[in-house]
Amino acid sequence: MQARAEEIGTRGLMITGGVVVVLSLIFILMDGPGLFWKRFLDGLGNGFVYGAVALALVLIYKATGIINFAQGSLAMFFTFIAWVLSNEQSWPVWLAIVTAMAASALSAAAIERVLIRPFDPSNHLPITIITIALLSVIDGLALYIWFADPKGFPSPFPSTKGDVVTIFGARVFYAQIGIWSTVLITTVLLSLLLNRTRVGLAFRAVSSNIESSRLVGVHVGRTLQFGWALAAAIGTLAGCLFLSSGTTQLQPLFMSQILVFAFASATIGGLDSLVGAVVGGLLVGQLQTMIGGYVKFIGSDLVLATTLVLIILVLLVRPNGLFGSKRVERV
Amino acid sequence: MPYTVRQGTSQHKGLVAAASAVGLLVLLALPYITLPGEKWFGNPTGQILNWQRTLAFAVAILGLNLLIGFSGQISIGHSAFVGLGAYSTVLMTNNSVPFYLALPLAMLLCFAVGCIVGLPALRIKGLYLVVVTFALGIVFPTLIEKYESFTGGSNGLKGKSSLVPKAPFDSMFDPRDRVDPLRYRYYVLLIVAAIMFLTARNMVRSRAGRGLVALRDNATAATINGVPVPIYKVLAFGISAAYCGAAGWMLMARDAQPFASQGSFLVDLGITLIIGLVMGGVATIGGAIPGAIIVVIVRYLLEQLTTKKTLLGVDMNWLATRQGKGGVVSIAFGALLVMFVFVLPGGVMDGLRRLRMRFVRIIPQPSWLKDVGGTPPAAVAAAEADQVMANPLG
Amino acid sequence: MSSVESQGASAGAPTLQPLLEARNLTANYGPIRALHGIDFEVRQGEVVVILGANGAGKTTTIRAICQMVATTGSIKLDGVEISKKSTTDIARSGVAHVPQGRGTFPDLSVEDNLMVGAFTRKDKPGVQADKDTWFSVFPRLAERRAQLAGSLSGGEQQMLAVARALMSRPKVLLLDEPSLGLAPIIVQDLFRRLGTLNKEQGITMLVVEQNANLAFDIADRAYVLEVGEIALQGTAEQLRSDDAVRRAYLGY
Repeated sequence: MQARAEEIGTRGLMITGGVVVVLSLIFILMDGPGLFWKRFLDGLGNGFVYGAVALALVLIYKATGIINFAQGSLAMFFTFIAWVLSNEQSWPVWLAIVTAMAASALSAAAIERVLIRPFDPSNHLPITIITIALLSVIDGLALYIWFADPKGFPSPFPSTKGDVVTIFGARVFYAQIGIWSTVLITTVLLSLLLNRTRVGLAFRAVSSNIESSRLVGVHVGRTLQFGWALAAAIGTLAGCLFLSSGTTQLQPLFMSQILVFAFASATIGGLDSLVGAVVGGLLVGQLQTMIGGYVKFIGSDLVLATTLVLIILVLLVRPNGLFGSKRVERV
Repeated sequence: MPYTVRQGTSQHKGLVAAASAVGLLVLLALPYITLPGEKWFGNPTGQILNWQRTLAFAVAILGLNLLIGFSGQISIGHSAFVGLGAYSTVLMTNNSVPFYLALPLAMLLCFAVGCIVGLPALRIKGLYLVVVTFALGIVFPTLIEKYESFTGGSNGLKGKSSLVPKAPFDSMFDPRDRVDPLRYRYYVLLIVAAIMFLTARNMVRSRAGRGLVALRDNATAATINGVPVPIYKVLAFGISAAYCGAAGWMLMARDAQPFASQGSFLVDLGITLIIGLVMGGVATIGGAIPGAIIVVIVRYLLEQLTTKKTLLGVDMNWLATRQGKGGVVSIAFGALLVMFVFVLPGGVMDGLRRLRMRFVRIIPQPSWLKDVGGTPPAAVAAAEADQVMANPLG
Repeated sequence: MSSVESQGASAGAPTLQPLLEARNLTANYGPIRALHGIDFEVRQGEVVVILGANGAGKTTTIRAICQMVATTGSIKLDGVEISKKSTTDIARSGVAHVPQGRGTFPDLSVEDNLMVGAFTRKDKPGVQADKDTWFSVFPRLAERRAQLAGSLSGGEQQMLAVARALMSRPKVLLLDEPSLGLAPIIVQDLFRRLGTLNKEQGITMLVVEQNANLAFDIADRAYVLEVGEIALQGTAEQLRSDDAVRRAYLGY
């Protein structure tokens, strides 16, 4: 019997909320509310991106029980495709992104069919190894095709100097708001897909009990394939959005750091909760910005390390993540 | 056709002794054999350096095998421990620590860090170790950058002393008369590697080792049977970290001018180790050797390939001059790994075992079983299952 | 309850071929043979029970029908060979399997469990109607319709599993040790309901059980499996009065 997910979720929220409030008050006292607000808004951008990638990771983990190490590489590769389409072929940015997402979905579906399906879904190790192999191949391919020098990535949102809006005294670019809303809309759509459609029901069934899914006539392989495709598309979207904010340049390894934070977000959120993934992402994004801003003796090099340490601390307090459900193992 | 041999008999022991002798001979003679084809394998010095590198990688892969093969937990970030071993070695020897002493110290350091990192795993279940090791692998280079004054940052850290032959105990036998420094270093590394392998084998066969296998196969059953699961998890992590630290020491020990640079210890080293592990054979001791050979030597060959202007008459200049040619190695290894997982999931060790079984079958003769006449078919079938610990890749 | 009808219950003429038929069925777990070439059949509208001790091969038989283990030999559903099909395709052909341990979807709500049971059906209004029907047959499930199935009691999960299986309007219902792990009073209730479902709606069932007493109450025919082979077969009355069966399985 499982503890009810709702109960854990509420407690998780309350604890997170409590800690967040306390820390925020401390920070506001330190440097004033204006700076705090600005940093908060900065952190949102990254947070949503981490949350989006975490969504992709959790999708696959929920359904198959494996960690897709190639998630970042796939996203990176198809972000490059989007760049090629919009830069060299002069497509409108939005179209380039959507096309790249579709291409990534098709490729992931092919990968699942050819490389993953031959294996027994309950045997996790070989499939995980395959994702590591994919990571290697895709990274190498990207390096071979596009080399290592950084490139700029255009934004799909109106983003000239004047496209700013002021919220409570902080200047926020339309582009930033665009990123937040895109990820939010994606999450909502995903939730609707999973909870209100037949395909979503099949997916949730497979995530819950593979054998029984077969017994009711669900095509497990095709359903998982769908999950892989979805995860790839979301990852690609996240990659494109991240680059469009201008914080980093496009180069073959740009997703690695994001991937680490995404893993951390997913783990904090509780690896089998979609909501948790996004909330975890927002939390990690805030941690990263706040630490970078407030804890001054930690230079930019150490932000990554410190954030991870903090995440470990959170996990020590709530081992199943904030929204994860505790499963009692039957012997 | 297969020649059957009963385990424990003098025949069996004779075969094992012969095989070991051959292997030993090859290893000892290696620095004096030059593989033909300098264009591909490099000049004699380069070849010895490559064998040294292979030994170091073998030790690292062995450590990783202890973690993955026996506790079922995967880590692509152990490059951080190799790096930690390497950097700490250089730092210590630059500060008057004798080179040989740096080895156990580096291992101890890595063991401690490994245990600390593994400790939260006592409480956090599931994928914590996977995530944290990946994070470790990514974070390590940034830490190197951060503490530039210590580590030389992106310029790397030069070692001031290196492993030099010394006359032990003022005796008649002075190594400097027999071997040149390069080959001397090879033999030192060989001895270190041998010790690591033997220790690993004994650990696996011990009670503790069997506990680790039990842990991997069924943590709940293991707990019920008195195996302190969490402690073993942490220990497995610490020990594997120590082995990787030793590999780091070895990488520094092999050079007349040790040089540690962060570029050598990125996550792709961690991925390379996993690739070598799988191709050699998961959950095997011996698999670390073929695995290391593949990732070092084959990689070297592939890199050579990307520098050649022509190959068997075909023009390869397009590859040699391409800016992104470094990606070719990654693509090739990834594809190779996929082939292994599909065709030979047990790795090279499994392939060798199958080959051996065509010629020699070893029938298990456990010491508690009284001498049974004849060869019961069940025993022969069991012999096939027994040789390697149950392969989690199935 | 006339809106839920098993397919074929309205067949007028007696069907000559059995609904489910196995000939020389063997099943293997790797190198171990669990079934040694058995024959059995289930006719339209029947309840057939397979009895046997632990390890006799009862569960293996059910799993063999759904191709969840490696088999040789012939298995026919309505005259069509299904022994080469995949588990999913067999389910889509009208075989509903309630596995040992219920096999509910613990993370889905009770309602979703029922909906997923009807996954292969295309008639939305029919599915709705069936769902409502099963909720009225099992009011306890209706009370808990939004609850996660994993939090239900054993007996409730068993009801849910049966209802879920029937949501697909199967040709035949396979039940693998439905009494396992349930309190006796729940088991009595369960078998009573199964009997009713069979009598009133003509739902064909193959039930594998250790609890012979209750099984005989609803069975038309029975087989006794021992170590992978059929030791006895006959009508429920015949087997019930058989001395060996009484001593071994009925306890008196």
